[in-house]
Order: sequence, then structure tokens, then C-alpha cells
Amino acid sequence: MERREFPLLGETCYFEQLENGLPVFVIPKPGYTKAHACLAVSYGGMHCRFDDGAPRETVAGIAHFLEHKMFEMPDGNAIEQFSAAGASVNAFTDADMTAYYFTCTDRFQEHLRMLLRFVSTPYFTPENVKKEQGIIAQEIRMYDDKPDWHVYQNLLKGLYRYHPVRESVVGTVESISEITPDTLYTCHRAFYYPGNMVLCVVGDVDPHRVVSVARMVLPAEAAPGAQKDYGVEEPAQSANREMTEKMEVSAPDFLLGFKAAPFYAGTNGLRQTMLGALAGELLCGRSSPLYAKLYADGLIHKDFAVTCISHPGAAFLVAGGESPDPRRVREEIMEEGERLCQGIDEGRFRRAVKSEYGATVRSLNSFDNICVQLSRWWFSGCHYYDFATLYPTLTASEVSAFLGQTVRNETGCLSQIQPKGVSTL
Amino acid sequence: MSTPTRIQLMPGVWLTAVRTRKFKSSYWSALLLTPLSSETAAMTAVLPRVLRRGTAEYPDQEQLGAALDELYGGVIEPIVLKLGEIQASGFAATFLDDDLAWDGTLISQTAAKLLGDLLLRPATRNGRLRADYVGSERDNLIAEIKSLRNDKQSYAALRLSQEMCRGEAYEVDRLGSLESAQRIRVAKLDRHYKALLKDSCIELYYCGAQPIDQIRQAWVESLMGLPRKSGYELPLTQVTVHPEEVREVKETLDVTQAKLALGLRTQTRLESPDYPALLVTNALFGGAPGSKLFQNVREKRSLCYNAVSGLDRHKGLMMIHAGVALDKAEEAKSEILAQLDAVKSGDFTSKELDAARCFAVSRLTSALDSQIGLYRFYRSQALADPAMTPEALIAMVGEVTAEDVKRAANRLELDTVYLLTGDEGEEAEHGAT
Repeated sequence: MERREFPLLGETCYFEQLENGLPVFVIPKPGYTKAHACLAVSYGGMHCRFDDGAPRETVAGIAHFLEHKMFEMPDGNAIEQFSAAGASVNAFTDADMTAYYFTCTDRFQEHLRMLLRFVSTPYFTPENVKKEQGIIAQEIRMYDDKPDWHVYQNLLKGLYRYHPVRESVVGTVESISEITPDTLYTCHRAFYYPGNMVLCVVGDVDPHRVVSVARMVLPAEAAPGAQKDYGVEEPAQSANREMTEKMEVSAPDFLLGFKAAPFYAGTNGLRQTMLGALAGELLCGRSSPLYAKLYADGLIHKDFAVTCISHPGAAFLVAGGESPDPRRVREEIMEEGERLCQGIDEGRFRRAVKSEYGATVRSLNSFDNICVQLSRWWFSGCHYYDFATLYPTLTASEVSAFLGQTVRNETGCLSQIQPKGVSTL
Repeated sequence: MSTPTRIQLMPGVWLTAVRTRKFKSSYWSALLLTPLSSETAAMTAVLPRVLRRGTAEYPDQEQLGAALDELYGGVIEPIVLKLGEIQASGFAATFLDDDLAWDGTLISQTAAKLLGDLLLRPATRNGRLRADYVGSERDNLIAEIKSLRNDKQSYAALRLSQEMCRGEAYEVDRLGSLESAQRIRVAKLDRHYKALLKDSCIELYYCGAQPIDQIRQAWVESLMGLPRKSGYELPLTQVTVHPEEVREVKETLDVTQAKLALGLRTQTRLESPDYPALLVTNALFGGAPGSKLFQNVREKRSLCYNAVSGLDRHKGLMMIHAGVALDKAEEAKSEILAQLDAVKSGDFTSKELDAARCFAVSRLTSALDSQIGLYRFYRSQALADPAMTPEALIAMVGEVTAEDVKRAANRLELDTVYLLTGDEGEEAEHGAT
């Protein structure tokens, strides 16, 4: 296995790509009792269209449905098998990734075998698909009742005209009702092959044993996979400048998004994502003058946050929270963006880099986060831990240029949830 | 695991300090502990937010923000918690570990000083808390209290605890009531602040790589001038409550899915010898991923996506939450109660018991590997008398028997069933699922 040291971070990383194409990362954590393993698949809510020899068009929510169904095994439910041994297993699906993970404090290799086995064993029947439709329908209804969910979904639809990131990851009660065992088998074959996955382990474990377990359980041969189809080219402008929905909330809730030019793959893409996040912080993050002003004026509250999100073919800056007047906040942010285009104070810039760096290093406390980031950036073609050496290379003029290109009327969308009727409180 | 050091720094001021090199960061907290009361809850809740606006040295958010950025993006958040019938109000903070700084910045020492300044040396005008900060944080608190109903799932949890604990101190929310928030004024808050500093027990916490002595010294220096009196006692929480009959509460709001919440009394304190059995019982019934509720209410009956139980270990409550189709709430409730009866009558396999025990042990053990997990553990143990080490608790949980679980389950008394549902017209529109 290849061993890399990251002295700035105090981290060591073992890596090997198996003959079947599976990349394996192991981050040793001596002194820890818990161990965490994550098997990620480069397949998410935005991959409904693909070509596996024939062009396929699957329904919204299929990747997430498949994630639920993977836990079903011919010999019972994997969740119950894990919990019988005291481990917690779970999974999530987002726009471009599905990840299965467990944490345990005992019998790590046994659990690792189980994880690899259930993710590589499709078992779908008309009965178990029907049962899942009931469960996921309730999951969808649960999100239906969450204003946060609506404001984000509406933002994506407002920003993107064609790009499939605009589709809801869970789909709708109607779309998932069309799912059959056959479609699930097709999708599993198309995406769940070792070359399209990453195994990542964090804990006090022997890296070589991890690799040998993976070799034992997964198929030895590489498999051909599907071509992802992201559809027609997405224009630079947002699809809608405003998206408004009414719900039973006490005050308006909003997200303001700005569509950026899609980021590169590889290390450059990681650097751009860092730059985007830094630009967001300088624009309206917790220690920015604009944040202080908006907060003092009562236009934003402590739930206000800003971040930069990047998926293949889709990157955007997003800020929001609760506000009595989201449009005013938009105006102020646009004005601040214009100001920062003219230049950024060097002292402020240096402090912001230090702050972002510190926060990113702190986030490595979370085993879960380490796995997700290493996998995500592997799919994008780079090593996540390289962020440590990239931070000092970011410059204030690049941030100005990024804000100039991104924070514009024509790339923006304000998504709002407005209170319905008169609050009874 | 390194054992924590617990030191009294001043009358009523305790520091729990854990030295470990496991993490990239240090974790800090300073909490003032007072009895939860409807009179003062909103003031106590707003206080750390007002203080967080600025210190005498960094009088506004921008300057305070710059100081935190200089410390590699340190985070200090105002927090207010309800720990049983104690309201805990103050700050939680996290900073990059000193050894990971590029430029030798003394992070920890500055962090302790900042926390002390926030608590004792706020930005003031004419010797009082600043009226503009008080006014704006009062408005923010009001907005936050009003927004509690926005997320219907957490709103159901809030309403359940209010309904169930009517007449007990616990019915007061951690943020206080809307009316009392609206009554916040500078002069009264300033008096309350000064009284709190003098009268409350204070719990300090540190977890990180620095030597304990150094941290103790840093805290002592940063809290110089803290007014103290003699004789401090922690407020007590009423745990033993026997409901005479089950209360059923139903509310209608604009929801597409019903939120069902059941509240039970566990009659068990954190320091009770029965507490380990309660942890296992909760895991077996609805707390663990493969619990009875998961297996039956979700997987067998396909009634919901989530059906879980959780404990308020300080107040002695078990709360069960489920999101179900509007027309399936009754069915879900009966199934949940049937599963509870099954646990009570010992109708569970040894495999289920093993899994629950393993889960409870593993959860405690993994908590020791996490900054937040450690913090939460020691924060609640600071209120227990006698306090228990995680190792002792883990050992006790590992020995819980089927009889213990049955006993713990039979102590559970159903108190209140709360249902948040939509109106019937909505149901037809969405159709049954």
C-alpha cells in the first residue's frame, strides 16, 4: 500500500487501488476504540439518465430508493445484522453520491465484510419494493413538512434550467411508485461496480487487513459501467430570479444562490471549491462587516450561513436563513459583492484564510466527514488532504474575480418561504 | 481514556478538564446553572446572546469576529439548555489545537481569556449592558420562539413536553415563553445578569491537548473578579411522577404527515442503579437501529419512515416519535403500545437483548472518541450525585439482564399522547400511501 504523510494535519493516509478498480483509503487513528468504514458510490439523485449500452431514463428518486433497498438481503435485513453485533449502520444519498457506512467499537473486520457484502448483493422482489414504497412515501411526506427542504429544492430549480441537480434526491410519491425490481437491478449493475466506488476506513485498524477483506468479498474482475448523462448544456444565467412558496412559518425563510461557472475536476476543482467558500465568508460570513451590519439591523439572525456547493457540472454560492426582508438582504449582498470586486483588504483576507483553514482541519475530528470528503474528491480526481497545502496559495485578487463573475443579478436566484395567512401565535 | 480532572476553582465554580491528544481541536464550555422558572427563563436565555455581541475589548461582532479568525477560526456560541429542571446558559467553544497552528499563535490561552471576557467583561454603556444589543437580541429571541413551530417534527416534541409536564418546572421551554421574552428590558436584564453571576453554580469544561494545570490557571485568571457568595447548591429535578390517567392531546396544523409523540415517565434518575437497564430497554424498544419499533412499525407494517424512542435522562422521560400517514396515526399508536407491552412482558429474544446491550455499550464507548460525546457525558455527570465514570457505566450496561430490562420497562408509565395532524381535506388531496 502507498503511505502518505500529511505533517501539517498530523495525519497519515494509506492507499491502494485493487485489481478490480476499487480505491481503498485507510486513515489510522491509534488510541481510538471506534472505527468507521464507508463505501461510497459515485451515483446520486442527479444520475437518472445514463447509458449502459442503451440510453436509460429512470425516475427521480431511484438512487435513493436503491440505497434503501440495498439493506435487504436474502438472509434478512442488514440493519438488523449490524445491530445484532452492536454496530450502527446507515446510508445517505445526495445529488452525486450514495454512501453506506458503519461505526463499531468491536469486531471491525466482521462488520467490514458485512458492509461490502450487502452493498454488492442486490436482492429485490415485488413485495420488498412495495413495502419500501410505503416507507419512502412517509420519508417524502416528512420532508414535505419541512420549510428548509422546500426552500433548498426551490433554489435548485430557480438556479438550474436543465442540469439534473434540480431534481429532488428522494423523488416524489408518484415517481417512486413506478419503481420495479427490474429498474433497481439495472441501476445496481450500471453504477455499483468497484471502479465506481471508494472504500474508506478510519480507526485503529491494520490497513493491509482492510485491503485483504475487500479482495475477499468483492468481485476480482473490473466491470464495465454506465456513462452518466447530464443532459443539455446549462446556461450561465439562472432559470428564475425568484422562487416563492407559502407555508405555515412564523417569518420568511430564504436562500440566496448564485450560479458559478462549473468547477474543474481534480485538484483545481478542490482549490476552486475552497476559493468559493472563502469568497462566501468574505462576502457575508460570520466575521464579515456585512454580517455585522445585517445582524445589527435585524435583517438576519444567528441561523444565517453561507457556503459554496459543487457537483459535477454545477457549482453555486448559497447564503440564507430567516429574515423579515429577504429582498433587502439580497440588495445588500449584491452591493457588498460589487465592493469586494474592487479589492479586498489584505489583513482581512489573511485572517479569513486562517479561519477557513482552522475550521477545515477541525472538521477532520469527524471520521464520517473524513470518509465523505476523501470519497467525494476521489470521484472528482484528487486527494482531499491536499487542501492543507492549497490554502496558502489562494489570493485576494482571485476571490475578487470570483465574486465579480458569480454575484450578479443574472446568475442569482432568491428562494423564499413566505408565511401563509396570519400566524395564530 | 485519560480520566478527567475535576477541580473546584472558586465557591460554586467547578472545572472538568480532560487531557487528550486525540482531537485536532479543543472544546470548551462555561455554563451558569439556575433553576428553570417561567419568571426568568427568557432573560437567562437571552443573556449569553447579548454578551456574545461584544466585550469591553472587542465591543462589536466585527472586532470579535476578527479576533476569532486570528485564532484559526475559533467558534464561541451562546448556548442555553434545559438539563432536567435546570436551565444552563453560557457558551460552548471550539478552537484549533495549539500544535496545529502555522505561526505559534497561543490559541488556548487567548481562548480562555475571551470566554472570561464574554462572561464578565461585556461591552457596556453607562455601566449597564448595551440597550441596542439587548433590544436586538430580545427581538431575535422572540423570532426564534415564534419559529419553533416551523419544523413540525420538533414542534410536536416541544408540545408533548409542555402538555405532559404541565404544572412542573419542566413545562417551561429552554428559551422561555413568548410573553416573558417580550417583557425583557435592559435594567431588569442587567440586574438579572449580575445576580446570575453571583448566585449560580458554574460548570466549566475543557477537553484538549494542553496540560490541565495550564488550563486551570488560564480559567482562574480569566474569571478574576467573578462575584461569589458562600453556599451553592444545584437545583433538583422532580423525576418521580405517577400519571393518574393517560392524557390525549390532538392539534391540527397544515401538515401532510401526522406527527405522533408519546411521553412516558421512566421514574429513573441518572445516578439510579436502574439507569443502565433503562439505557438497554430504550435501545431494545426504539432507540437502536434494529429496535422493536424499527422491526415492527417500520419494516413489518410499513407505517412510517421513522419511529424512534429517546430519553431525557435528567427529567426521567422517554419520548417516542413517529411520522405517519394522516389516516394511520391510530394504527401506529396501537402498534407502538403493543411493542411496549411486548418488552414489559419480556417478549423479546436473547438475540434482541444482546443487540440492545451491545448498542448501548458501543454508543457510550464511541462517545469517548468524540469531542461532543465526551462533553455531553461529563456535562450530565456534573449534575449527578455521585457522578459515574464512563468505564463504570459501560461495565454496568454490559451486565444488564433480561429481568433488569423487564423491570425497567414495567416502571415506564404512559403519561401523554400528542398528535399533530392535518385537516381531513388535505388527506383526500394527497391520497393514501
